[in-house]
Amino acid sequence: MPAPARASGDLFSCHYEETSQGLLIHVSGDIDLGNALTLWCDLRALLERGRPVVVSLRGIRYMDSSGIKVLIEAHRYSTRSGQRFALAEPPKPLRRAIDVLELEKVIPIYPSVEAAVWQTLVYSKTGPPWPGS
Amino acid sequence: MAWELTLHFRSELATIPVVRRLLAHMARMEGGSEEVVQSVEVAMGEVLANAYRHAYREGVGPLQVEVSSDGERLRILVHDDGAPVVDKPAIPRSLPQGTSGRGLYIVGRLMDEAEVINPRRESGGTAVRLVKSLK
Repeated sequence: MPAPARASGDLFSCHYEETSQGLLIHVSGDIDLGNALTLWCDLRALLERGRPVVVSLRGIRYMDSSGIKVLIEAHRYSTRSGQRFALAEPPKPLRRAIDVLELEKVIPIYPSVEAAVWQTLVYSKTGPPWPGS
Repeated sequence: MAWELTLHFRSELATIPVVRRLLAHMARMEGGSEEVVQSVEVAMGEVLANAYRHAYREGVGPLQVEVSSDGERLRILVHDDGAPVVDKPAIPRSLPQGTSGRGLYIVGRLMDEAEVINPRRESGGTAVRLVKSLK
């Protein structure tokens, strides 16, 4: 399936794939204070569709606490509107920050995109309720 | 061989990624592992973002980064000439409950030493001192 792609700023890109079950969003590059707001605008526009969302972080090279704050906001936004939301495959440097901030207590985070898609977009339709819901 | 140098630049959004990558590169050249290199970049990004947010009213003003290495440790001092911080912000030692302070908390967890210290100069300013072992 062709993925609508769009570069935002010099350092990062945000594009997505739409499936019958929901959206798989790929965020990659460097996210910091200078483009976190652009990331938030991109994510919110997609979240407004009201569909389950998996955000793949596989392509992230660098993300600071402003970027992490955007992920927390996106999760909050989804939870408020009853959408499933999960993060997938944070690379090592980001994984360390996620662990330090104990983000996994707040947001479902999967080590692979496949697991996140299965749990969030596929299995959730027929399976047990979302953990913590 | 031990060395030291000082970078002078303005606290603009465009300089933050340049300087944090430079410091990460220095850590790599000094033999730091990828984990060390990445930790230095994350810590520098957070400290510079903090300076951008708090040092100057318009966000932009002079910053200096002093870096030195003895092959064992990278020592970094980031300081600004902004209004002196009356209530000196500390590096949080436990996970902040609110949304603020998370960046500096990460810095404290990734560095071997991290502290907000008294201004170097009498004119004011705030300085953050970081030490990261290269081994």
